[in-house]
Amino acid sequence: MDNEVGALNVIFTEFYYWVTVVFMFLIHVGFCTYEVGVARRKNLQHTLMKNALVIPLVTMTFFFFGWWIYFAFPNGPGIIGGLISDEFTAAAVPWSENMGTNMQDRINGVFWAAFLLFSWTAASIVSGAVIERIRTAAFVIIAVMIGSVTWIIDAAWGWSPNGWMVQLMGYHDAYASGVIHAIAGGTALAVLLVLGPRIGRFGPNGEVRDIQPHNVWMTCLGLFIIYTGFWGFYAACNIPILDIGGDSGTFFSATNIYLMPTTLSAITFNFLTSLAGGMMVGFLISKGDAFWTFSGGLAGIIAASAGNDLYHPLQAFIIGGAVVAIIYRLHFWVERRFQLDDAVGAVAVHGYAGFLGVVIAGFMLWGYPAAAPAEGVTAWFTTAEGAPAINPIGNFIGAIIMFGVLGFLPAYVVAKVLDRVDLLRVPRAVELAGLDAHDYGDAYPYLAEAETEFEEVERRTVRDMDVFGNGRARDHDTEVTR
Amino acid sequence: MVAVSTGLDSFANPADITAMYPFAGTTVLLTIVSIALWVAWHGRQISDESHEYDEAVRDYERIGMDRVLRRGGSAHIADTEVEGQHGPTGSVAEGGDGVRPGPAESS
Repeated sequence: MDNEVGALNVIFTEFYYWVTVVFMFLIHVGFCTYEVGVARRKNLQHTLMKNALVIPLVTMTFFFFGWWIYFAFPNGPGIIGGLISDEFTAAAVPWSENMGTNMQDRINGVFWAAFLLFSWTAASIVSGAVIERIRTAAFVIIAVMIGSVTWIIDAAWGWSPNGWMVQLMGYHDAYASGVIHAIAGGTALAVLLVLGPRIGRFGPNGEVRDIQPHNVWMTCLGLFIIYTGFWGFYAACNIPILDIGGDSGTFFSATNIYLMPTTLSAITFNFLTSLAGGMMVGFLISKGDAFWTFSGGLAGIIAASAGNDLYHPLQAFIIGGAVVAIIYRLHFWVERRFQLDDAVGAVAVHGYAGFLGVVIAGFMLWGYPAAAPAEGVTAWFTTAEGAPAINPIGNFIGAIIMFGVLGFLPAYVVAKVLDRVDLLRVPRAVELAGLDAHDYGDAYPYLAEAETEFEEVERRTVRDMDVFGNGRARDHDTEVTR
Repeated sequence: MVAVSTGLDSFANPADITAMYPFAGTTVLLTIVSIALWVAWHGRQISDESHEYDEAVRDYERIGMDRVLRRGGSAHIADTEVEGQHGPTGSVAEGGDGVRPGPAESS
């Protein structure tokens, strides 16, 4: 920073990302609010603390190894090259001088935090799906896995100009439909399959019993806050000012994460129109249900995010709406068919919408340059200038990698191991009593309780269940308390 | 008298300053200690949580699930009763003293 223009550029960029971090913090506030709203009164504090612990644990593990993975893994390693060891990886190890207060490096911590807030988001998406029966100890292990390992591997592969998926396959996912949302949806699906539904959620004949949120208003407020934080997320996916003039001379613009041109105007248009499409369809298809109208807005943005750097606003609007119509039906079909108890619809809103968003971008942006070509890599499809070209095959396979290979598979293995050592799910008696009941107590001690229809089902269920695993199906002193 | 310094003693030449934190050069040790603290945190959390749930299950088995469900857990049932010093119909629970009526009883 030895001249004023250079200093201004660095300080502007540093401040730009710093502001995105502040905005993205709201995503976590929103997720916690939303999840607590969905949870029942007997589980509120456990639900809050489980998600809140994402912040310290993912932060520290992202400091220990997550940031290094992003710079070390773009080649696979072993797909288009080896493990990268250069000045950037050296600066990202936790004992590096750049990972501390350093007069010569003003921005590493801000970049690190911008990526870290994506990590929190990925883990937080999973958190909502598994509420009311997962152990906190198990969830935080899964949170560290997705927040500091699997998502950042996918970012190195498909969300970096030099990532092998970008260079070889032409993968394009500008605002993280697959990189954050599909992987989180795949992870949530795997954990849910191993974890199983909440007690009583499905009847003996497979009928789905509705478990009402304890506070619909809080749930919708949480989603509103997530929308607000999503602005920071979008801004953080851009490089705010870069000379992209190339052979034609100096030309400053914003770029996407792949250093390809876009504008803040484009992403502002497209964020809002995809939100509009999602909310409009969500409202219609759910017949005005507040939860699904707000979730529809979120899913609309997620569906268009892969290509929102380049779409026309009306394309984003149509994509957002169309995908919400699909994922809404898919959510309820999967719920009935496979008895999947996803408490917040995270697999649909993030997983299915993210997957479809990546696939659609492959068709919509077919032939666009994905990134500047890297030396020694021959892409499957190239532009006339030799750059890797965005294409439907690359993005379809990319969506499978995000949702299935990096999302579902590792989470399924980890959840199985946790289940095997009896660390995944709380004991049945604890689940029935409520996860707050023993150690936290009631979150609303001055409000009278009212038994819901579902709680009445639970009380009937417990009389026929061997809750304590002692071979006695009936509660031992039920008759005393009648 | 010159003060003890844990790192920098002048900001006169900022262009020459790199690490600004105290005890520069100890970052490898700091990393090892921090990772150990992180791993230990998980161990302690798993242990505490398992202990808590074991205790909860023992209490619920003693009290009876039907009663626990009616009263929103065991927090509003007197400790003496949870510990089994009173009978299962303990007079403390019946008589109030912070016992919140369950939904069936309040209706």
